[in-house]
Amino acid sequence: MEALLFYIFAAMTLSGALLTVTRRNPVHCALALIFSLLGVAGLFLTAAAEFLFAVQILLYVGGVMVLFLFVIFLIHLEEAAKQRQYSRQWPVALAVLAVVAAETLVLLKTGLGSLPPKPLPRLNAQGNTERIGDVLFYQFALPFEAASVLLLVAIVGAVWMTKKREAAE
Amino acid sequence: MDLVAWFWLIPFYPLIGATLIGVLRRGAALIAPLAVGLSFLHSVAVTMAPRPAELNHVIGSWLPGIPFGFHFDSLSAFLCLIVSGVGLLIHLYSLGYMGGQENFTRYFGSLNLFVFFMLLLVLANNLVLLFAGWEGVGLASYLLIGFHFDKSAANKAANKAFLYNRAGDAGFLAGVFILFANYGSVEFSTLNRIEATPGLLAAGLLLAFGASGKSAQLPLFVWLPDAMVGPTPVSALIHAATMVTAGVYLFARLEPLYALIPEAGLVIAVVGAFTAFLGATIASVEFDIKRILAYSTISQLGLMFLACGVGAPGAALFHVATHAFFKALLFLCAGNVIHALKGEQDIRYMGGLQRSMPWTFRLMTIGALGLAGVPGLAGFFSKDEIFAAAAKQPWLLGMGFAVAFMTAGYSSRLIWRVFLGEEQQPGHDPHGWELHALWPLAAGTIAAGYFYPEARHVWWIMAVSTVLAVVGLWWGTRFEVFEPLHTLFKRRWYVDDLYRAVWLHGVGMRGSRSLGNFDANVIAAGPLGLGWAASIASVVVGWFDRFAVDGTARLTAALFQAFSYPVRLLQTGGMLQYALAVLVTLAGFLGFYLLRFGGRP
Amino acid sequence: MTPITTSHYLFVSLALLLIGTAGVLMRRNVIVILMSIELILNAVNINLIAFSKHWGQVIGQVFAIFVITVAVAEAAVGLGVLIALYRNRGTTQADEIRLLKW
Repeated sequence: MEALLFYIFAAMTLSGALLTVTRRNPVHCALALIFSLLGVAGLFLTAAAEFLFAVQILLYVGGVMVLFLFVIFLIHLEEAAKQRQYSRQWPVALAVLAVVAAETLVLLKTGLGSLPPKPLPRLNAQGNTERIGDVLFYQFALPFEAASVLLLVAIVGAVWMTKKREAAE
Repeated sequence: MDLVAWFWLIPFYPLIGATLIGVLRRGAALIAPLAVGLSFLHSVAVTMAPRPAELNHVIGSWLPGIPFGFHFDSLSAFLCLIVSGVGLLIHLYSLGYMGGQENFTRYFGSLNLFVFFMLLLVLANNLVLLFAGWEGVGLASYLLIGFHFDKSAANKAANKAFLYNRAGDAGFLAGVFILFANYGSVEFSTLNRIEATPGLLAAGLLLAFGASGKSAQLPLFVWLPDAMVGPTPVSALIHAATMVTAGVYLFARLEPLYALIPEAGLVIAVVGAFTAFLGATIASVEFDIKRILAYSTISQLGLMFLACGVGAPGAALFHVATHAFFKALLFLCAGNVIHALKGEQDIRYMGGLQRSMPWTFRLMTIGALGLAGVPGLAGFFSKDEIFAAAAKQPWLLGMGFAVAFMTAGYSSRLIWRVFLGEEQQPGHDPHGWELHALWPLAAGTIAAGYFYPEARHVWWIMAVSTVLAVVGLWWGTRFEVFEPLHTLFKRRWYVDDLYRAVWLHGVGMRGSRSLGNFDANVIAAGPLGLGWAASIASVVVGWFDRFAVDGTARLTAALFQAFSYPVRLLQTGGMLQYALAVLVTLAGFLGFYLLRFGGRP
Repeated sequence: MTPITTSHYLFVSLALLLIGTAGVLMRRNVIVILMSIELILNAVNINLIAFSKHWGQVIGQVFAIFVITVAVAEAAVGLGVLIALYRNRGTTQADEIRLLKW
């Protein structure tokens, strides 16, 4: 059962990803990305990361993608859609990617042997969320605060950057 | 002050005069004649005073072996009196003749300078100091011939005179060098007591060559006729009475030396005879009044050289004196005629001036008769002395007689044409100095003949010359020289043309051209070759510089460019390319890690 | 079926990573590039979660939270940059923007 879910979600993820990078119309790309992100959320779920599953959907799908869609509508991408979609270096990129893929696979194959082949334990003695909260606010309090500062900076920066300039500056 | 002991001051009065004129630039009319007058008076005083046979005074040593010394004996006295006396008269004449000219300050300065040099020449006690005077009179002659230097004819004539004199002077100096080398001294006192050596003949001939330049003999006479473009008093003084007699003086001074080399004497006599003949022929066909007199001078000088050559310098000197009187008289009268006719010098345009210029007519006739050798006048006696001396060589005597005949001929021709016949232009007699300076000359022409102490009076010669004179005088009034001879004489026996061809075109132009070629090709070949080598070298160096040096620089630059090219390619500025670069780097790291560690952690 | 092991997740993560990288490198449209970056970040998250599950620890998930946070910030700022760039250059094609080269 778990395996089936895994494969379904994996398929969602990967197919969505493929569609994202190949579509001409950016709106199609965004929708494909949403689909892929949902698949990722599912994968989180099967991996006993329930909190993240929720976070993923809330933030990513609900926030980031909405943002993306808004921007897509702001910018007139009709001309862009009619132009060439792929950069000139795509053969080279594919080749290098293949090399990297091969290397990584080799690494994985050889390295995986070092992983103890134990079956996956049940994770949640307590609830996943509580556990995350525990670690997050005790051990990682500073990074948490830093992350919030980062978000603040990002908000301010994004607002300021996209503000329309007055003519007499 | 003992004028006799201070005799050597005689040349210096006109030198001071010339200096004063040069410095003050005014008062020349007073200073110049005064200076010469002082010289004359001093000469008279020393001559008349009781004195030893020879006076010597040495101021100092000029060069090693050559003193700056003066000498006075009866020969010196004779010349001094003539030079200063005639010089004084001509200075006085010039006061009138040159009175209206501008620049007569320069004229009198040069004239005084001339007298100084001539007196220096005469009073020198050695050949080198004599040569200094010799050169000096040549310089003064140049200055005075070229006095009207705005006329190109004057400049050319001055140059010609100076150059021909110079040619003679080269010979003169060569002679002096030989004498000095052989005898160790140039003083007359020594040279007149020597014994003959092989070089003596050469030296004597060379000195004679120099004299022929100064005294206008063959082959160097051609300058004298052209010198007539100078002012007439100059012609009278320098080219009749004094400078041209310097050669005769030289022979007279060195008589003992020449006595040792009779072959030289023969050469001198022959040259003199031929020159006399040639001069007389040309004078017979000339129409310019001054040129007639110039060729006459050449001819008479030839007679003097003849006398020196046959060993009778005394006769030559006698003729110097008489000639000075009548030739100066003739020149100055000619000057008066020219002035009266406002510059006309061609006798074909003169005539009948007897009426309008009676005194000039009389004076000039006296001079002409003196020249012709009419018995009683001075010229007759002096010429006869020369003939008497030449009698030993019959053919020389014959030539002398021919010359006498022609002399009478051209003299009467001159008088006939100028004063007799139809009057073409009226003249007027001169007054003032231009007239009164002439009386002493006329007196001398008449009387001087009686004062020669060693007169020989060979009767048959006197008879022959009288006949020749009379016939010649008659001939001159009647006939002109007939045709083919006329052309020959007119062209001055083609001597001028010969010189022009040989020296001007031949040596001068061809010579200088070939020298120029030699210089340009052979001598310049060195520097030219160097220059050529330098330019080749510079080409090589340039090539080296361009290829090697620049090449290194360019090679370095190219290397840099080549090596940086791939790197440059990476820096496209495109994000995607940079992202790809990151990925490539990742692939590289992974690969390295794999190869190194085989994937084991 | 084979039991799902960690390596399955890792393969998925790798595949997603490769696809995302391909998108970054090959697409000209900047929006799509930004989306591909999100894919990469998600691949990383999957990896983290997989190992978190493997070791039985929760730190991996906490780290994944931070990754998401950063991804969000980055997406916001990146889209702001895109808008500014579009306003200045008038284009949204990556290879027409060569500001990095002088």
